[in-house]
Amino acid sequence: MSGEVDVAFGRPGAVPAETTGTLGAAASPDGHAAARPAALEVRGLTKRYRRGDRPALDGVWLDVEDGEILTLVGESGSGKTTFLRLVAGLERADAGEVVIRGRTVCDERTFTPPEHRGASLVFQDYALFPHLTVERNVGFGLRRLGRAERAERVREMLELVGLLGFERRYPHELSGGQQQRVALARALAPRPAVLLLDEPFSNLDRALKARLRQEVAALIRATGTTAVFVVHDPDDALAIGDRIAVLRDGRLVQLGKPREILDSPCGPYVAGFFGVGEVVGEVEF
Amino acid sequence: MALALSVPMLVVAVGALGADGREVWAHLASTVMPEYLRNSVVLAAGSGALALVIGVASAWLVATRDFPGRRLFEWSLVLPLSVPAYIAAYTYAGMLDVTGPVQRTARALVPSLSDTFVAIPVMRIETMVVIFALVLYPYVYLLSRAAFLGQSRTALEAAWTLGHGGASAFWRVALPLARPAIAAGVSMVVMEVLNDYGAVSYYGVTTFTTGIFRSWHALGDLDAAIRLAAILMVFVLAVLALERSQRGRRRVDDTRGTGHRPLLRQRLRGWRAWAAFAVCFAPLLFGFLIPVAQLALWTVRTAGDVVDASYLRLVANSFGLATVAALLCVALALLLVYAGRLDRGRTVSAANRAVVLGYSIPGAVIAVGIIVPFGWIDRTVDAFAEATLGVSTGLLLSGTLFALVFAYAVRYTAVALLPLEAGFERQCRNLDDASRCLGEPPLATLWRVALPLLRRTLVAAAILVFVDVMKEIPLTLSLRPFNFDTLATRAYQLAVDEQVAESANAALVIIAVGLLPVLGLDRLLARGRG
Ligand SMILES: Nc1ncnc2c1ncn2[C@@H]1O[C@H](COP(=O)(O)OP(=O)(O)OP(=O)(O)O)[C@@H](O)[C@H]1O
Ligand SMILES: [Mg+2]
Repeated sequence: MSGEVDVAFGRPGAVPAETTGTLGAAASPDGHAAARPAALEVRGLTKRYRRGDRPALDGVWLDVEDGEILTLVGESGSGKTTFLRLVAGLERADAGEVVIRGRTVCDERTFTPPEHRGASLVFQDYALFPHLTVERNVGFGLRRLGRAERAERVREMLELVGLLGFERRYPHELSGGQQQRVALARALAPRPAVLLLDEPFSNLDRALKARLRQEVAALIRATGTTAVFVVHDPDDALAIGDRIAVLRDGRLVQLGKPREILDSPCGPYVAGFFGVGEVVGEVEF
Repeated sequence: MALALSVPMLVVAVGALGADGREVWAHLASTVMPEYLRNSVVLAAGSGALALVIGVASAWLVATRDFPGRRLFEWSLVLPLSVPAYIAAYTYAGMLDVTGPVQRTARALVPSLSDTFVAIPVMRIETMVVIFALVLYPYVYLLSRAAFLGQSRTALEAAWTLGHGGASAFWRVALPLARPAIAAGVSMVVMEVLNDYGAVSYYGVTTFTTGIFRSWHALGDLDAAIRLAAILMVFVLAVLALERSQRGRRRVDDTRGTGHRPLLRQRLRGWRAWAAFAVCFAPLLFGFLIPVAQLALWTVRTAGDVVDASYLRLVANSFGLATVAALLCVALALLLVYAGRLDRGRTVSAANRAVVLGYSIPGAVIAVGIIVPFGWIDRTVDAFAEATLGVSTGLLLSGTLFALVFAYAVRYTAVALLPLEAGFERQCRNLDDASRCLGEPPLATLWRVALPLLRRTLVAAAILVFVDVMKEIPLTLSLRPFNFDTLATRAYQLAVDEQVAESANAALVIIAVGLLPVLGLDRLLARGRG
């Protein structure tokens, strides 16, 4: 497994193999997705934090189909977090629209507050409530359910992430990986229309990361949840995503399946980013 | 809400610029103004400078040197902050009085002096400066010590290894680095001095504060009072601007991320150690030990006469009022801070800055700013009721506890706002966002996430407001209902009536209450957490 970590150098066999596997699995949902409406539509989303600054996000268009996992990659400062926060409703966009499950939650006139959007965000630092137990963290967004129902759902979620028996622990009594799974369970519990994950692996060591990203992707798929997954590492992006969106300086530079990106990166930037610059670049340019 | 809290300031500003002000201005300028201006400037600059010297010197020694008693001084140098200036002022006046303990002891010890009655000219502006500096220097001490400690290993040791020993390291490295913190401390001292009414009026030093109350109460000239208040406000804003410019873009409390390896302190020996001891002990002695000891003596002598049913009512009044004000201010501050967070900057934050300003605006200004609109509302309602119902409603707002509590809210919400703002930054980071994403609307988020997380900060903020209200004089004196007294106003009035000894009891209670947060505040600022 350690060989694949260094993606920047060439393409060790493990990466394309994994990618193809993921693609194969994604092929059938893709077929259905064409019939269903997109779970998330983003049209021309733009955000400037301060007047006069370069926009942190600049006219981004993309759709995420129902049940699809889209990975969002880009360098530090390219606007990934900004994108998620805009979709979640934690920031106000300067321009553009966000449509979740056919409902417009953000355009010039509309601004639906985060609690009514059905978009659940897993934060980079997990943002677990330190004053609540694991059980209560996971049940936090389930207040509308009855007591018994809520307990059942919490159990179900903890079982899903493999943390049964940890109900009474507090977040600081868990390891980083366990905290991350609690955060995931908490976000999945209310059955969000879209799950947004912000670099959920950056706090973990590499070996754990490699294992977890597969686990998390499998969990999300198991629940059939639509997800936008921000990832730093191109390797992660290729392994997890049904499709990949590449951001650069707030602009969307490419959107496509892993295969497409590897085979025909649009431009040297994307090629370089995925470590395929030399191979494909010479042919294309 | 923030707007309501800014009303008094707006009233003063508008009132001062209002029509037909020419004559009043001219009159003020030709009569009392020069004197007020001179005294206020002398007091503010003098106390600020002296507090700066005391505070920085003691902070530097405690932070970078080791000498006998250092650990003790580390926290005890903050104690004078619990002694309100007016209490220190009349305690010293009483002590040095012809019949006071100092002269009596002198006469008893030296028989030849037995007929000498020296009227020591205590009640002067110079004494006032010294007293202010003695009880307010801890602001400078606290902030500059935190700054010195924050520099610790990095800058200072670099300087030492580059051959800049003691004095040189201090002047060339430590002091410039600590300048924003020191400026902040000094500006707090100056604010307190400009706010003071009790001490200066006791000493008969005429300043803007006493001038405002004189015009208003003694002369019934509210117009003049408003204008004096406006000038005082400009004065204060100027000090604030000055502090800002000193601070630049640096953060005063930026002591994080220095890894905090404790500084290796230089051990002082011989006479140097004793000199350091003296430098630290003197302010503690004169700012806290002597006044408190004297008050304790007086209390023992007079407790029998003073503690009775009416005294207990005073205690109840003070504690009740302070509790109500503390709860109100904390609740307001919490809502304002959270609103600021929801709105992500802009409008609400600007409003919050205005509220913070309330704390720098002297009580006298706020009092005027409140009495004017409240008086107007009372008269309008009264006239309306007379005209339509034939009954007089009299004073509905003026002179009620409501007016008083409102005034406290204007002045002290900032005291709760600042720690809560910091607490939100530190404790909640994106937990409130997480709660929103999980479907909880803002108020539910406040209740389920922010309140439990900020519990300790809320208590700390409430204590800060509580103590400030306990010792408050100018607002309470001018806005309280008829015959309503607190420990502070009673202590002050007894002192004015030459019954200094009888006032000691109430003063000690105020100081004791004030000790609570003073010690906590020390921890809060020194370690940069809360
Ligand atoms: N609250 C803010 N105020 C001002 N500017 C901001 C704010 N948040 C982000 N920015 C700016 O917007 C740009 C995009 O930031 P963003 O956090 O979205 O990047 P990112 O892709 O998530 O980076 P990283 O990979 O480091 O997390 C950056 O230039 C950043 O400086
Ligand atoms: Mg980010």
